[in-house]
Amino acid sequence: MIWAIGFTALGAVLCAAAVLAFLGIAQVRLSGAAAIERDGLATGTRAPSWSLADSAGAVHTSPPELPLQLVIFADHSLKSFPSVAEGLRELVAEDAGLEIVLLLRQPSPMAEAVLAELGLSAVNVVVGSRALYAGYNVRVGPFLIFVDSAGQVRASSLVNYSWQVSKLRQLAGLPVAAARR
Amino acid sequence: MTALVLAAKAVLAVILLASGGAKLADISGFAAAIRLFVPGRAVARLPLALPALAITIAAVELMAGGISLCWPTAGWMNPAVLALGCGLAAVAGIGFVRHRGRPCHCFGALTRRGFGARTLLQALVIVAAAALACQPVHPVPELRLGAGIHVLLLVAAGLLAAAAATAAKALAMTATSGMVA
Repeated sequence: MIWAIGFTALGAVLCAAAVLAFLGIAQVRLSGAAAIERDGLATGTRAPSWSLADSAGAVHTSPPELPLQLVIFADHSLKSFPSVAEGLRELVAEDAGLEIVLLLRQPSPMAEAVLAELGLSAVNVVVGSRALYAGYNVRVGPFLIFVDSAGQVRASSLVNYSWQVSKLRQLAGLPVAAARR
Repeated sequence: MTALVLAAKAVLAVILLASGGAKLADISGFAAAIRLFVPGRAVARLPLALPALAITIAAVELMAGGISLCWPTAGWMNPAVLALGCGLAAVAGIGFVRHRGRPCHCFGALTRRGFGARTLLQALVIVAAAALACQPVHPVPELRLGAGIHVLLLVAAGLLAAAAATAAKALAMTATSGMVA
């Protein structure tokens, strides 16, 4: 009987220790600046599918009808990143085959006004949900994810400067296998 | 000796449960690791075989771990676990020689470590522990567990596998290339 009790106790303790260890590993590796930089979705993975109407009633979908879609994750703090706004303005002006949408977690009356102030009125604002936002694995902004018409993620990154926006656009144009390297 | 044999059995069971749960949460990553050991032509012919094999290996590990932990008197499971350990050591050996540094996904996304001397050494320790667990335990009747204990250990095994899977799934999502630079 003593062996049965000993084995059960050891098994239970080992299971509890392992559970705590896994939670600890996940906590350590998911927190901190380095972890946040690795947010988003890996190139080649499937992006969440959705169909949402903007404030004018026009329906936008992901995967997009155009060859490429840029999903922007940001809030009014985008004003604090003038270089990113400049990079986005360049994309709006130069890339006709690109649909750009700003995806909000919850309704924000300020969003369109801020975009207009930044010269980004052409960016469509859609309101998703916390669950949809979580599906993109984004915690901080401004974060950009390029999705192609097949629903595959082509590039994904936190951005602070315009050169990062244009470099990410270049990466999104590469074949998935090359971009993964 | 009995204490050592039972401790080896419990530790191996926990390792198998953690490994199986973490692998199930990141089947594509584990399938990519298996691909290293399969000829390219075979992969092209049977594209669904790799994910199926990955799921099978993870499920076998979960079952072996669960049975070892919850039914320690099931002597037939010991050679099966030893065979699993030998397979793991063979893979670690081949990986050490031919794929050093490539991700092994031994614990799904819980570990970023690649094939190397450390992985091989760990596999050999597991084989030694499995060989120790094969030693006969006397007297066996003293190790018979009551129905309540079986249920308790089964719940602990389930929680452990679920925790490993949850942590691995969260970490697998963040396995992107990081901020564009």
